[in-house]
Order: sequence, then structure tokens, then C-alpha cells
Amino acid sequence: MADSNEHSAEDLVEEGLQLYSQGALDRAIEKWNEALGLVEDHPRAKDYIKYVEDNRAALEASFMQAAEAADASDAPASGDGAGEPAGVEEGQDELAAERARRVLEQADPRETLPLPGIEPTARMDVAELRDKVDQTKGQRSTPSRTSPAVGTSERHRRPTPLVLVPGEGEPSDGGFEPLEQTPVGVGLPRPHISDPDRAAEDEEPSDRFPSLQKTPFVVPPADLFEEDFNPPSPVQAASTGDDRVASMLQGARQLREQGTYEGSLWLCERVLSLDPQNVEARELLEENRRVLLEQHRTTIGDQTGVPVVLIPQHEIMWHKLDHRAGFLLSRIDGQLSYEDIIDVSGMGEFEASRILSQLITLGVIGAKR
Amino acid sequence: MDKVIGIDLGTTNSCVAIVEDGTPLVIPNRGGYKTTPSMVAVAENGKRLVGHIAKRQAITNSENTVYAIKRLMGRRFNSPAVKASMETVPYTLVEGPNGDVRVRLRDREYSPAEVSSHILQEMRLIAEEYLGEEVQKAVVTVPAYFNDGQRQATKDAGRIAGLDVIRIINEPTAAALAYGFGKNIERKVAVYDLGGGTFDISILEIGNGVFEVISTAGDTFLGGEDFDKRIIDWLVFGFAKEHKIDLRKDKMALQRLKDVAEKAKCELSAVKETEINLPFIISTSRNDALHLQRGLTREKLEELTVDLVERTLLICKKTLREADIDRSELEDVILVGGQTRMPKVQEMVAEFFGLEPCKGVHPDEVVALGAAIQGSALVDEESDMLLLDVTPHSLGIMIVGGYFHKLIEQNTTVPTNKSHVFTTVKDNQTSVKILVLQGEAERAEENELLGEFILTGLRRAPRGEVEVEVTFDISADGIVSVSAKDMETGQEQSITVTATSGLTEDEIRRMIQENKDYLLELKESEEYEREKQAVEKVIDEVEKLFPEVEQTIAASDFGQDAVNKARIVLDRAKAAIAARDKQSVADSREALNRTLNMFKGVVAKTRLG
Repeated sequence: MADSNEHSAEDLVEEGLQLYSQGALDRAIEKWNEALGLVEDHPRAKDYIKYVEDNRAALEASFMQAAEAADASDAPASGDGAGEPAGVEEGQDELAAERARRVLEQADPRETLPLPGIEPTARMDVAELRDKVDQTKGQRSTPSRTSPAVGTSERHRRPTPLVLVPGEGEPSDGGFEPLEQTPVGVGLPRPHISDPDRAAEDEEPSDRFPSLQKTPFVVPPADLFEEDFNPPSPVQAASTGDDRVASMLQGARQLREQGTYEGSLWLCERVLSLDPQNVEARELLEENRRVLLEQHRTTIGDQTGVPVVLIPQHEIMWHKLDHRAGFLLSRIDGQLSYEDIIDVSGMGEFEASRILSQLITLGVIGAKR
Repeated sequence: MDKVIGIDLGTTNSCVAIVEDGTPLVIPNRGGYKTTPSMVAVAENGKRLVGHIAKRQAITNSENTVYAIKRLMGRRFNSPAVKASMETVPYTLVEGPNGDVRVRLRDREYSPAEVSSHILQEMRLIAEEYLGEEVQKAVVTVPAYFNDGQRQATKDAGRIAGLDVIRIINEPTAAALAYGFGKNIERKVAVYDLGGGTFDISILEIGNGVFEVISTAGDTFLGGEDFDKRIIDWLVFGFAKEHKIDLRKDKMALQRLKDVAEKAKCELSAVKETEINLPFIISTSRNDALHLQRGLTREKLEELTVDLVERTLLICKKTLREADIDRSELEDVILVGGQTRMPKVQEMVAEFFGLEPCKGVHPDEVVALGAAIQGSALVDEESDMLLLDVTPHSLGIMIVGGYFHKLIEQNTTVPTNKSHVFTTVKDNQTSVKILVLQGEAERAEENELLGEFILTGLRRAPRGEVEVEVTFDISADGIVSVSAKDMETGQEQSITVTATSGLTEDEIRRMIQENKDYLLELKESEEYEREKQAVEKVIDEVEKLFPEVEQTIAASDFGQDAVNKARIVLDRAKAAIAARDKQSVADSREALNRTLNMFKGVVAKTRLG
């Protein structure tokens, strides 16, 4: 009977995971609670419930974004046979997805936690980390690139994998599409990156569902998010628009307090898309923009300086950039200053400064010597 | 002797030249280029962008970027040229208060002369930077077909830019001047001018230092940009075939395509194959950035554009036929305009005229050089060079039945004058109305009205008895005077046709003042930036030394006091920069330098000790 209960509890946990992967957080919690009803103190069910409750605001935002992105990608191509240039119409979505990634990355400090028995590295590739976890746990080591997707029996036995989507190169499961189908560029091989500090960044999968992809096989300590988030309980978080707005606004406030301005900004934008008259969101948004712009200006330094591209074109292609970054890069001609480039960007000072500061940070551009 | 610059105010690019020590030379701009895009834009923050920088955002900010303003110079809003432009340009054209055309950029309207003045001013600044002195006089070139209003608009543009335009000359004349400079030649030549936006063919007769335009024609909507467009289309369709994405729908992608198409085209004038690389050209709905990589050969480019070259040759053929000139009469072909650097163009032109085009003059620079030569000759009293211009259009009056009677034919060398006797058309007619017209059409209303006046007090007599002599007089500056005289009484009425650009004198004065204010602001802003950079450098140095100095001297009261004072100096300087207060920034520099010297002294002492 105990075995039977355990088996059913495992099934319920798996069903919960499936629901979670679809963004049905409340229903997932219900399943895990049912599992707890069968096996008291079921470790995974408890951990999952705790994790979802602690991170509800950010998770909801991420799922919402993922759903919008999926809708957008399903949109039919234009009538003339040529597809819409997604970069234009969906530029905002991409931006939002990028921001969502940051919100969740920044809200999820687990990825930088050292694991028991694993030598700490600056940042590890998810797959690399997973291999090490497997080895540490003494389980059958499964090569990361071919590890089975969530839902397989092997994964069931792991105490804490809250990774619900396949990693790069893994087969998808249950109709969940691989998130990153191609590396940057068309027909170009991904480079072999030996720098461990940059490896995780460059191997980073899609921006679309970033947080989920980047979540390593690590159990967050129970109290990890208590200071950062105080999300509403599943009961409180009803699916009404007002509640979503309140939840996101709270998340935005908290991220702002943490100094995670990008994440806070993105949540403010989401709030304003649902409630354009929301005064607090608008004020918070402006404040975030002001602080971020100041940060970008600091990174850029002297705006009258003339930037140059520091690396050859074939190396630029290795970076994960978008068409806007590509456009700004193409404006760099050794004559135009940062100020000029911002003027000619056509994307406003905030956005242009953000991209330029990113390019500087990546080492793609720098001051003319 | 005053410095006079020669400016080729082109539809797509402009160029400035000067004669130095008897040698004409083109002045490069700050970027080292000898031509500057004739583009003016207003950025999102209201900043005026001129030339190269305006071109770099011409498509992403297309509604607020003006190009090819030359096509609108001196035009009425309801003219066919304006209507044609309205269909092709992305910026907004509106009717001005005087029935002229205006361009709307963001929240302001600009006259074409005002926009051109920004370009002329840029050329002036380029020259001043090179010469290290102020430049006030200029010779500006215009197409041979420009009418008086268009020429006047060009003069007004110069005036707004703070330039005294001492002479307006025709572009082919300027090209021929540069071609004939230092040579004593007598021949008939063709000037084949394929620029960025227009094509002109002119036949000139050069002899004894006299340059006469015999005939001119062209297409104001055919130029190098059409060649670029063919490359863009080829790239766009290739990409669409592969990815099902139309890059033209993305402004950023289109801007990059435009830039790269022009670059590839220029490269293919020198090499046979080039690689087009546009990384991260567009992002897909799956957030993948796609790259565009394609090789383009000269052969392919020629295949894509050969019909455009053929179009120019058809115009050449028609012009020669209408002017009754045989190709064999021509002794040289001068190539003008960047597009003529394309080997296929040179080859087809050579084949058409049966002559190898002249290689002695640079097609991008030849017009500006000619203008500079003319400018130099005008202020040099010892110069014996004679430059004769021609009337771009026929001049005449309206006669009975609404017909146009030409007194001065098109392409007549100026200065000139001509008279003709007319009679009354009604019995007891006591007055005649003289309508002065310019153009080539038979019907008076299809030509441009330059002015009108009435001669009264004629003797009452049967029709045809009273004779009135009408005289047209055109000065070397192109000023047209018309008089009508009653042959019996000697009574006379006259009119001086003052060409107008559509701007009133008050408007011109206001624009001149605005331009002066703008230049002053620009100068102050540049001075502030220089000051700011200098101060920031010192701040940086002081801040680097701060920890070491603090550690060394802060232990004593005196030292602590010095450190506190240094901190105040730094804070004040930073506050001045934050406030963009030029004077405060400048004031903070001295105190900062003192602090830096003190810090350096402390550090040196510490390190030695």
C-alpha cells in the first residue's frame, strides 16, 4: 500500500510538473498538495510548492511572456508570401522577453550557488552543472546533451529538479518545443568558447523562456527568496486582472528595492499594458528608466567619444545580438560619436544607450584609440 | 584678395573647392571625404543633422530627413515637379504662405532655400576649418535648366547661410571650366552628368576662353540611387526567397541595405567581386537574429542596371538630334557625377559617342573645381577669363490668342538684348498689357509668368496702326529687364523682373538671424564639451590619487582639512558638469588643477620618502 501511494504520489508530482510547464501554477500546486496527501512530507512536492509560492510574481510574468511569444510566433506570415519581419512588429516582445529573462535570472540566485561536492566555478553551463550533479549524487551519469527530458523515470528520482523544459540539444517532451532551435546566425557554427566566465553566457539558450532554461539542477534553500519576494499565496493570486496587476506591481517594487531595475521596468511595462492609467507603475517605470539611463551613460562614458568595433566581424557573429544591436554596430564608422549614434539610432536615448552599453560590456565596441 | 569658394550644391552630394596659389583643389570634410551628402535631418531630440550624419539615419528617420531638396528649389506648391516629388519622398510637403513649397520636419516648416542653406553652411564650415579663416564669398552651381526663380532661391540659400553668392553658374559650364583649365582649347564637348539623383547632358562650345552651353537636357529622377535600388531589390528578394522575410518592411534593415548597396556599387567600380555582409540584419519571431551574406559580381551589377544606362543614352540621342549636332562634331566627353565611375557607364558612353571619355577630371569634384576657378577669376582683376552663361529658357511675351511670342531663345548667351515691334489688335486701343513669360510652350499659360505691366496713352487708331516696341535686356547676372515703347510718342514703360524664391525679405532676414543664433549655440556647445572633457580628465586624475593622498595626510588636522577641501572642489566640478553650466565648469578647472598639483606633490613626497 505504501508503495502504491508512493507511486501515485510520484504520478501526481509529475502531473503537477506538466501543469507547471503549461503555466497552470494553481493547478500544479493542487496536484502537489494531493501528492502530499498521499505521502506526507513528499520532498519534491513540498519543494515545488514552496518554490512556486515564493516566486509566483516572476513565474507568472514569465509564463505570460512565454505565452505571448508563442502566440506571436504562431501568427501567419503576410499575404505576399514574405514573412513579417518580426524584429519590427515584435520588437517590443523581444525586448520584453529579454527583460523577462533578466528579471528571472536576477530573481533566481540559485544559478550561482555552489553545489555540495562541486568545485565552485564562476558560472557553469547548465548541462555541465547537471552532469556534475549526477556524478555527485552517484547516479548513473547521463551525458547532458542527450539527457532525457523531464518526465522520465530517471529525473523522477532526483530530489529537486525544477527544470521543466529541455536544455539545449535535448529532445523535447510532451509537445514542448525546444526553445532555441538555432544558434545565432544562419549556417554559422557556434564557436568553441574556452573562457569559463563567458561560456555560460554564450551557451545561453533562447531568450524566449530564459529563466526556465537557465535554472540549474539545484534546490534553492528554503529561505532563499524570503527576503526577496513576498508573493501572494496561490489562494490570493486569483486569475483576475486586478490581482495580476497587483502581483506584478509588487514584484516591480521589490525588484526596484533590490536594485534590479531592468526587471522592475519590465514588470512596470506589463502592468501598464494591462492598466495604462496605473500611476504607481508609471512613476516606478520612469524612476527605473532614469536610474538605468544613468547607468548606461556611466558605462558609455564620454558621449562625444568616437567608438570603434574592437573585434572582427566573424567574431561579432558569435555574440548573441539582435537586429537593433546589429543596426547600431553598423552605424559605428570611426566618425560618429556615441552621441551621434544615439541621435541617428531612431530608437530613443534610453534604448540606444542600453544597447551601446551592452556592446561595450561585451567588448564588441570601445573607444577609438 | 578675398577667398572665394566654389560650391557644387548637388541633389545628392555637395562638394566645396577653392583655388590656392593658382591651383584648384577640393576641400575634404571632417571625415576626410571630398563630398558631403546633401541631406538635412531633425533628430528626435530636435538636433539638426547635416551631411554624413543625416545620411546615416535617412531611412530610420525618413519622415524628418530631407534629401533631393534641389528638386524643390524655387518651385510653386502646385507645380508638376512638386507633385512628382510628393509621390517619391517620405517627408511631408506643404504649401507655403506665398504659394511656394515647404518641408515639414517634426513641428516646423522649412522652405527649400532654408534647407539648402544648411547644406551650404556645412560646406562653408568645411572650408573655414580648412582655411582657418572666415569665408564670405561663394560661386554656387545650378543645373543649366534652372529658371530664374530657382536660381534666386539658390542665392537666397547662400544668403541665409551667411554667404555672398557672387555668381551662380551652370553645372556643365563649371565642369567644362575645370576641364579646360590651363588649356587653350577650341572645341565642342559633351558633359555627361550622372549624379546621385539626376541625369543631365549638355553640349558646350569652348573657344577663346568662352564657354557656351549650346544645348542641355536631362531627367531629374534618374541617378545613382536608382542603381543602389536595384542592388537593394536583388538582396531583398534573395533574402525573402531563403527566409520568407521582406527586409524592406524593417526600417533599420532597409537603412543598412541602402548603405551596403552603395558601398558595394562603389567597390565594384574597382574590383570584380565583392562580399556583402550584414550581420544581425533582422530578428525572427523566434528571436533568432539572421545575417545577410551574399557575393555580388560586377557582371551581376551590370545585368541589374544596364537599362538605366540605356535610358541616359536615349536622352543623349534626343538632345543631339534636337540641337542638330552630329556625334562626330564632338571632340570630348566629360564625365560628371559619381555614378560615371561605373565601368559599364564609361564603356557605354564611349561606345555611344565614339570617344573615350576624358579621364583628366574627377567626376565627383569637377563641378566644384570649376566653380572655384570661376570664383577666383571674378575676384582676380588680372584674370582675363571670360565666362558666358546662357539663358536656360526662352523669354517672351503673350500675344493675341493667348500665344507665347519668344524674343530671346533658349540657350542664348548672356548678356543679351532683343527688340520686336508689335501692333495693336483692336480699333481705338489705348493700352497694352505686357505679360513677360519664360518657357518653351506655345501656349502662354503653359509657361512661367515672370511679371506684367501696362503701357497706356496710346493714340486712338484703327487696329494695326499703332506700333509698340518691346525690348528684352538680360544682364550678365541674369537680371531681366523688359520695356515697351510707343513708337509714335516715345512714351515708355518698363519692368525689371526680380526673380523670387518664394521667400519674402522679412522671412529671409528672420532665417539669417536664426542661423546666426544656431551657429552661436553650436559654438558654445562645442566649447562646453571641450571644457567638460578637460575638467573630467582632471577629476579622473584627482580621484585616482585620492585614496593614496587621504591615507598619507588625513591623519593630521591640516591634512584632513586639505582632503575635505579637495572633496568639495571635486563635488563642485561634478555639479557644474551635471548642470551643464559652462562658466562654472570653466571656473572649477583652476581649483581642480591646484588640487591635482597638491595631490601629485603629496604622492611624490610619499613615494620618495
